[in-house]
Amino acid sequence: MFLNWLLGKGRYPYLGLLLLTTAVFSFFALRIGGGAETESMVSRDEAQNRNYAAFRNAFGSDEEMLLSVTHPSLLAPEGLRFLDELTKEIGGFGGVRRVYSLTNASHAVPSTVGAENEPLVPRPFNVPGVSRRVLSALDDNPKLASLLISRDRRTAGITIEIDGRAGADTSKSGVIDALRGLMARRAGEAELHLSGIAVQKHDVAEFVQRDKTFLVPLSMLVLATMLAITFRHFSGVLIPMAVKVVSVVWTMGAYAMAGYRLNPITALLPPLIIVLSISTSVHLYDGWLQIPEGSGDRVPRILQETRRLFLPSLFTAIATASGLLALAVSDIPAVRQFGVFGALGVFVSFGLSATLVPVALSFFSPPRPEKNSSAIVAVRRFLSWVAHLSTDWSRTVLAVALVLSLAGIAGMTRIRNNTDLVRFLKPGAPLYRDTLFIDRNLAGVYALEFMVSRKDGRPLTGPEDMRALEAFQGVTAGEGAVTDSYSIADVVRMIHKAETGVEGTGLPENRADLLYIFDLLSADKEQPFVEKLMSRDLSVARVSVRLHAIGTAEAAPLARRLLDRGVGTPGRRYSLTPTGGFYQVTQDSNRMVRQQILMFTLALAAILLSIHVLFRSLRYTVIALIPALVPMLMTGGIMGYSGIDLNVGTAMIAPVVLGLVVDNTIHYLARYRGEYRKDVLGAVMRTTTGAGRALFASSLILALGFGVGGFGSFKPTVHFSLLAGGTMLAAVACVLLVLPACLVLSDRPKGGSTG
Amino acid sequence: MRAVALFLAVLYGSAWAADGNATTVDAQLLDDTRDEIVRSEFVPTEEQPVGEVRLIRRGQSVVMQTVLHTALLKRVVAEIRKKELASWPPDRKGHGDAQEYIDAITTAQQRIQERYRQREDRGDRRQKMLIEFILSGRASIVAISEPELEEKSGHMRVISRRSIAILELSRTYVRGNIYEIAWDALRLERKESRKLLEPMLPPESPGSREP
Repeated sequence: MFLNWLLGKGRYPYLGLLLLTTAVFSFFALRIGGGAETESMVSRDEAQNRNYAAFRNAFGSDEEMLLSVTHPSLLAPEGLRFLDELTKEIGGFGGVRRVYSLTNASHAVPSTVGAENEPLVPRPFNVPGVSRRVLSALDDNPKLASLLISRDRRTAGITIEIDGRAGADTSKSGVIDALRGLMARRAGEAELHLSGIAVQKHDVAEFVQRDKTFLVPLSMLVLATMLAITFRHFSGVLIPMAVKVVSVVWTMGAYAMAGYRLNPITALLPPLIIVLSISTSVHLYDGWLQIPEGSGDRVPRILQETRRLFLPSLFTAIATASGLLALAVSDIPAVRQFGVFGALGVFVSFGLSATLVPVALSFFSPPRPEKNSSAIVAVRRFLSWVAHLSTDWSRTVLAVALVLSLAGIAGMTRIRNNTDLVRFLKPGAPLYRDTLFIDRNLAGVYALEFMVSRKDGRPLTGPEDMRALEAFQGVTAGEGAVTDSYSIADVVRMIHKAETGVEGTGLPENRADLLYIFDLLSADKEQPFVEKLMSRDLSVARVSVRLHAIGTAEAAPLARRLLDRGVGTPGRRYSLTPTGGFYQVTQDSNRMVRQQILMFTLALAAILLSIHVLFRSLRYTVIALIPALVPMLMTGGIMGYSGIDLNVGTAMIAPVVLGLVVDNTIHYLARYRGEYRKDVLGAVMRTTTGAGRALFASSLILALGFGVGGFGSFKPTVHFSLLAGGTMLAAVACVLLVLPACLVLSDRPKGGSTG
Repeated sequence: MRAVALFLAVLYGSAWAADGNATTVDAQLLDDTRDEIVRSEFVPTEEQPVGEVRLIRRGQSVVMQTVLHTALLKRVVAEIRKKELASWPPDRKGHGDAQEYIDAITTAQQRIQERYRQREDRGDRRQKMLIEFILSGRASIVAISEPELEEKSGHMRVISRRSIAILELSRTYVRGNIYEIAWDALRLERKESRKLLEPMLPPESPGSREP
């Protein structure tokens, strides 16, 4: 009824309303803005976030940046002057809270009045023997030295602390841009490298943004080309592309209206919707192509074709959306937003395909019947051969599928859960080189942070408290990935040694001496690093465990080990709380794997339910499961065998692709049910040769659409794209081979029913 | 530590008496009921003070009073010692006074610390010491005591004092020390300090020559 009206009097009002709505959504979609935020990339785990908030409240931000400076005469006057200039200039940047380097660091030295603060580097820099004095001071303070300079004393580190206010993405971005500008200006004078978790997050967001601006147009171009090759009609390109553009505009407009900003995950929504919105319009257009030339009943034929495909298309949309909606169980906001708005995009695209495509087609005359060109003949022969293969060799086909699935399962056991922000980048990327350089030469770019406090809530002002911190640091020292660890105990030991003037002095042995050191520290405004190590009320101490540039696969168990062993080491009186930006990344990565299983199970259940509702057949439901699972298992196997890690990007492959894989199954089964006349072999032949071209074309278009992401500069994007594309090709092979084989083997000739 | 190092009232003196026995001294010199504060400054800074230095008119006497209220008393006393030795080298007249003064304040600090350790309530780790350089027409003394303080409008007011040592020092030494403190702790220029102090200080005193 509605379609009758729509293709009659409703055409122009519909198009007018469509244009108006699209204009409104465009207005909002264009206001999303280009800057990608990263706050929503962190999970909403309450305890974890509470701990991190407490940590930042007590010690400030832990997302420090590190600029390495390799100068040919680093410890000579000219090298020190260069380092000092950089330190001062960076300290003047807006958004920078503090800067630490060799030239503004000080250490405690013995004097007639006790410990005295003295600059590590004497001034002026050209005093005789400056290099020797600096080297001597560094040798006397190995902990301090490891933070400030490389072991070969050729590379210095400038640690930059950013203003730690929440949501200061813009501030961080501004500082990073200013630092890069400084590096470009001074590049000729020394070798400079910049890294740190804040830089990594910033650059990852930039890469995603850059890829988006490059990949979306490329994806559109590839899809348009594929549509042109497939249909060889102007309308065959124009109409599906119009559906894509309007779907993207509506979805991103709704995203903006909901008040969200783009993040590295949701930045992938436009290309995803472009790819996902292809299926229904391709099937509708393909059906329209089969309308005889000069047919007087053009509109009724469009109606008939639309009605025929409506239910299967609706359920394919439901299946795809279910896969995406399963991502809504994630407690990482970015993943949730991706799932919800991806699903919305699928429904928008379905709604537009079911209305805009028929309306648009009503303006065109059906093309002439396709001539039996050699290509078409070849396609038909190929599909006929495929149909024969699936029916004549059905057991063999299933056996091969089973072997591949088992191999896939075996491969999946090798998949490693690993989020490695540095190695997400290609080896040629500047950040990759910078980070690994700093990692090799300075005290590591990551840190696991631990908050240590007494369970009785008393301040950590006893000698036993300092010994407990020291003991925990001793635990960390045995780990290969740990470069060093820092706590207030290191500072106390340094001052105590200077206060007593005795070489080899350890920690103070009585409370009065320790309290006196704390009083000395609190009286010194030039020791800001103290408040980075101890809370103001002295009740919480920070132990910062510096790590090499490792991924979460290594870091998560390391954190667990340190926690397990650490809890016992300081004694039962202390509580040990792991936290920090890097710890959050490791925990989120682990959580994502657990949720991956839940997301996949939910998606699968929703999809099977929708198939069951559509076909009302347990047999079809079970059969539909097989060609859906086989390509997923194969993809999992490929990931395992090729060493592709499970991470934020690749964890989304299964839920996203599962819905798409099932699309083809639904279309095939819907067609098969129409073709079945108690002759399974004939029905398979007619279905494969009849629907095969559209299935193959839509899968190929999807695969190539995803494949465009292979040109991305970010490995998760590349992996997601290539694996999703590959899964689509494997899926169409399964639908054209495994599904018919299942139908043949499960057919019950005597029953006379297809279920 | 640097902040502490910056604070230094340079206190000079030579020992005359010890152990807080005030019997030989005119009790009026220590009677602070008639004190008139001429000038006052926190040391080393108002934001992070370890004490307060005041120039006081006490009847016919001039008093340069240093009230220390800090957890770093040991450090402050060590800094005083350092400065004393630098300002009063062995070849300068008054070196002996300085040495005795150093011994007296070191002993006083140890006693104060010992009393602090014996206290039951040690929540506030700040220890208190009062040092007064007093110059009158007849006497020139340094009085060291442990005061009871009351905070009023951000300033420390001496309620009472437990005398630890009273030293009679040469007039030159006390006078010179009052000038040193005026320059260093009260942050007065030399001309300004002369203008302020000369009318106050007793006339014809042996230390009328500026150090």
